Amino acid sequence: MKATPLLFRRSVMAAAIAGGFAWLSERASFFAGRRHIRAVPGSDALAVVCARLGSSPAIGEACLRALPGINSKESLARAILGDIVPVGKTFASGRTLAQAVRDRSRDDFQSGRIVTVNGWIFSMTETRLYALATMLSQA
Amino acid sequence: MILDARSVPSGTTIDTEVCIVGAGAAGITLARAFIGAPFRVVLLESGGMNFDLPTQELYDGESIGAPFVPLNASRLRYFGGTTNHWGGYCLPLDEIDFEKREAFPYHGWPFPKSHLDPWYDRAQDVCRLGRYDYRPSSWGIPATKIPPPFAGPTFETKLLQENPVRFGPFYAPELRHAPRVATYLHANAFHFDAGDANAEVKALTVKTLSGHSFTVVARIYVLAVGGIENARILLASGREDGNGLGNEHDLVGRFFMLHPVFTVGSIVPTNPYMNVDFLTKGTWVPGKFRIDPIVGLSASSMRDLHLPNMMFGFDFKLAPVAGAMDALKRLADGEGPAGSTWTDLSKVVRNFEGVTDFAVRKVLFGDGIPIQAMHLWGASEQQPNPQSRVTLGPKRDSLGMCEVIADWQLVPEDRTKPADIVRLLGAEIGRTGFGRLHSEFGKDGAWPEDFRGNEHQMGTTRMHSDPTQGVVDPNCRLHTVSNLYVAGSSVFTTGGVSNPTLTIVALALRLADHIKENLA
Repeated sequence: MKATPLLFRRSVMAAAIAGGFAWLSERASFFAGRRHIRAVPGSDALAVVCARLGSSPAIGEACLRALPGINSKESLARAILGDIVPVGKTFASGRTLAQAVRDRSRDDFQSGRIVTVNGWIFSMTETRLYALATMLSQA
Repeated sequence: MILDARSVPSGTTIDTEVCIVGAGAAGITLARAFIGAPFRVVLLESGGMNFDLPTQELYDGESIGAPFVPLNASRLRYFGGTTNHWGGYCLPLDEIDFEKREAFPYHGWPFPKSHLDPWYDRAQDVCRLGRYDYRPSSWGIPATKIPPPFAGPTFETKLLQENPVRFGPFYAPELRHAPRVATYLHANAFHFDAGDANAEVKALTVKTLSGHSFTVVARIYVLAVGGIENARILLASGREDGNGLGNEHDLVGRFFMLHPVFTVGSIVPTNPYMNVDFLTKGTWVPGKFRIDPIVGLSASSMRDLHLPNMMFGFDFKLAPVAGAMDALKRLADGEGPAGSTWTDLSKVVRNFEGVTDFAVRKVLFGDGIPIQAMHLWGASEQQPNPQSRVTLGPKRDSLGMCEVIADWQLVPEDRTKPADIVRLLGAEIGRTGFGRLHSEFGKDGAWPEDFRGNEHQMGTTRMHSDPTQGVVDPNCRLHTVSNLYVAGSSVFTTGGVSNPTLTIVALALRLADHIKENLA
């Protein structure tokens, strides 16, 4: 009989802690992102998304190698945003941009815009995103 | 009745109306279909009722092409044939497997699948399966239970019905008590004599390993000794100066097909707690058979994208808590083997956190054991290829018959098209948010290391309406030999990816009907 309230309290505490971490990580990565690709309009939110990914550098570097012609974080950011941001619109937050990235990624899979990276079958958009995340983390 | 050919004196001639060579799935099905018919039947089986090595060694041969399951391990040479070790997996060929397809040379049977459906229906009973219905929804797997990547339109879930019934022991009592069906064990078909014209079989020479030799004279002969041996005996028969029976167009032994099988890769699911009951729980129908779901490429994808048939099976890598939960269940039920209590207890204690997490999630959300990865294997359709062939070699077996040389050959598309399908699967898994696929298939233009051909030997006496393109006609009769028929997977024109036994049995039942009509 006493287990349920205890479980409820713990769940609320866990949710609060997780929320706090999420907020902090978003803020931290937001400011980090501003430092790294400020030359590309609308890239702040993109940096936030990259920081949230938490992908392994090995995968990111492999993604980078799978994208010939891409040699800077600016060109990667332009390629990603060019595909997903409607003309004249910017994404103010990482959250809305992340949703747009997911949608674009799904469309990539649908249309066959896929890249094989060390055996992983990724969408073009997520491949670029992993590559950018790694470049930013190394900057 | 079941007799021992070693007791037949050399020089004896046995007269009958129908002589069936081979007592495997096809031969036994034919013989059973003739029980009660108003004519005599002789069924010849190379082996006895059990395995014996000297007989099995008559299967020895050489493989010089791409790797496949060894010739003397993939088949069994005694009463019941290869059903003595088969897995019992049954699935009819798909409609598209029967169709002519422009992208695939030599593809297509002389009739559509719908023509064969009545015999498929009857074959279900012979193979001791359920009703002729392979729709998942008919067997307790509603569409709502199937995750999006496997619920169409690109990939879909199919069913296998499975019952490894051993045709030999299961059907022996019926044949033993069939007065007009004489089954001879230890009787090896050695040579069909078809006269100077090679147009009608006059007699069949039979040999035993004990040194006896006799002949069978029949109105109709049916060769039913398997996907490779059917071709072997035809190549070894006929005039001494000829190139075999029914081989006027150099087709006997060609178009040798198998199903390539290989590791595809692994899916890492987005939601490890997803419900995959439809894949993990094959359903035993009590005392009868089992339902096993698999995933296959849909017919519309094959047509639209010009792809061959292909199927995928899954193995699951479960979180370590799975082992702990098994241990916990054994402890609770007191069912573990002697001395396992401490080991099981240790497993539970070491995974205590996982066990409690599992218990909480189970109670709150109804979740199951989390899945870390789903490992995929694949089987694909081989394109009919005249360069892939079985021939006779110089080496002879202990009866004096030439052993076979099997040269299994694939065309580049046999590898590149499945690689395209794997990429398509990866894209579909990503598109639907199911997870991501990791696959090395097709890397560096090579097959995976574990690639091989499986045991499904097909095509060496292929069926075609045109005598220049097939060895047997649509009734399974040799185009050029009026009283010799072939039963078994050697007549398959294309092989799809379905396990062949159900189709072998369906074709045998169809052939039995045809012969009964002819002899009426």
